[in-house]
Amino acid sequence: MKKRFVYLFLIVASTFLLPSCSYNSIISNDEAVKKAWADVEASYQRRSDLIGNLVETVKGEAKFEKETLVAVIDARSKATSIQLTADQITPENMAKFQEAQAQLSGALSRLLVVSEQYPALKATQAFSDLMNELERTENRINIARRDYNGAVQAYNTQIRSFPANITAGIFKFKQHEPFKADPGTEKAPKVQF
Amino acid sequence: MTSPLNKILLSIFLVLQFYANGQVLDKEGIPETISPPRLINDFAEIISETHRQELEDKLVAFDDSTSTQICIVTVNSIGDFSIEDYAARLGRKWGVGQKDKNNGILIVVAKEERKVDIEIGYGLESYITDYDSKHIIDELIVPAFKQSNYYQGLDDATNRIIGQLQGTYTAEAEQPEQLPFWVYIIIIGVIIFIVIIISSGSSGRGSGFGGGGSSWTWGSGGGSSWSGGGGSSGGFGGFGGGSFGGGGSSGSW
Repeated sequence: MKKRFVYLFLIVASTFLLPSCSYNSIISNDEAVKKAWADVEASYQRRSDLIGNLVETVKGEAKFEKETLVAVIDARSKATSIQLTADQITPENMAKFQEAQAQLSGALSRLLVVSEQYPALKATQAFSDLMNELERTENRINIARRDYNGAVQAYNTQIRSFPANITAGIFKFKQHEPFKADPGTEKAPKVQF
Repeated sequence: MTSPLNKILLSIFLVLQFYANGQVLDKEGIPETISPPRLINDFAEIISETHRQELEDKLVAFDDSTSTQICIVTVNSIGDFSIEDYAARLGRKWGVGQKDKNNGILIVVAKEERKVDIEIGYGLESYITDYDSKHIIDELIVPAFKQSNYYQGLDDATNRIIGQLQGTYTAEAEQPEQLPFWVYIIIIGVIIFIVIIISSGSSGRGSGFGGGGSSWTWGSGGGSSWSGGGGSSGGFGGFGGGSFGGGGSSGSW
């Protein structure tokens, strides 16, 4: 009976003590990272959808280079096959994710360079509207990545500083993985004519 | 390459330049808001004073009725930024739009680069798509800007945006934010008045208290006339802390 009372007391006391060990604020920073990651995924998904439309539009051009098209389609399906939740992001997974997306970016910019040789295609309204949306989506991706890295940095800094590092140790909070600037894709590829 | 003298000369030049267009940049190179905040910030001075005021009045009225903030910033140069990056950073820094709705729209015009960008806040992306903003730029802004009719282009563009946004957001009933100083004086005055009435009433006859009650009614009447006057006063009330996710369009002329 007395023991039970002590346990009860400890539970109640710990609920009051946890906030002072930054438990709640670690959780909210962790949630912020997850939300930021969801935005990253959504903007990459948006790009993938647009690339699908682009491929369809370009296919309409009878003699369009098969090779470039196939490269884009392959890179796209490879990139979409890597779906991660914020908790699954390990350094290796992140590297794979970034590499697949970078490959898609590369294939896409080759496609855009090649499409320069098809003035009839370039002149269509549908194509130029798509270009605009692609360009803005690169912009969205950049912003989402920047926000994600900001959220990760805030979280990582917190769980390594005192006293939150103790709480983080007890509850096994792990560091999140930021995006590494991949060479050449620091700035959004210019898809504007 | 960069001798101290060059650095000094450069900074003097920069300072002079910023003073010249009333524009102060932060360390990233994004302009600070001016005070009091305005919706039209013509740092590049490409719009005449009268036209500036007309645009400002129109956009303030739209902000008052819908809480949607359309902000226009013209700058001489955007430096090394791409126009869309510059505009998104500027919109976030200034907080165009309301915080909970993200219903801000920012139009940035870079004079030297001859580039224009429309940024659409998160909350408006489904009402004004990238497609819509591109067509606003291609059909209204670029043709007018090519003829140096900057006002015309911006006026037409904002008209189309306003037309397209009819009925999306409405302004909520204004909450009294900060009471002006004189309201406190009146309240304190009324309290002192009541205290005097009560204290004189308690020392004198009972009917004195009834007199105190009626003077309180007069005091609350004064309060209601304040809230009527405060809500209708014109001018731009400031940016609301809205955010941007990169939607919109850009073009050059």
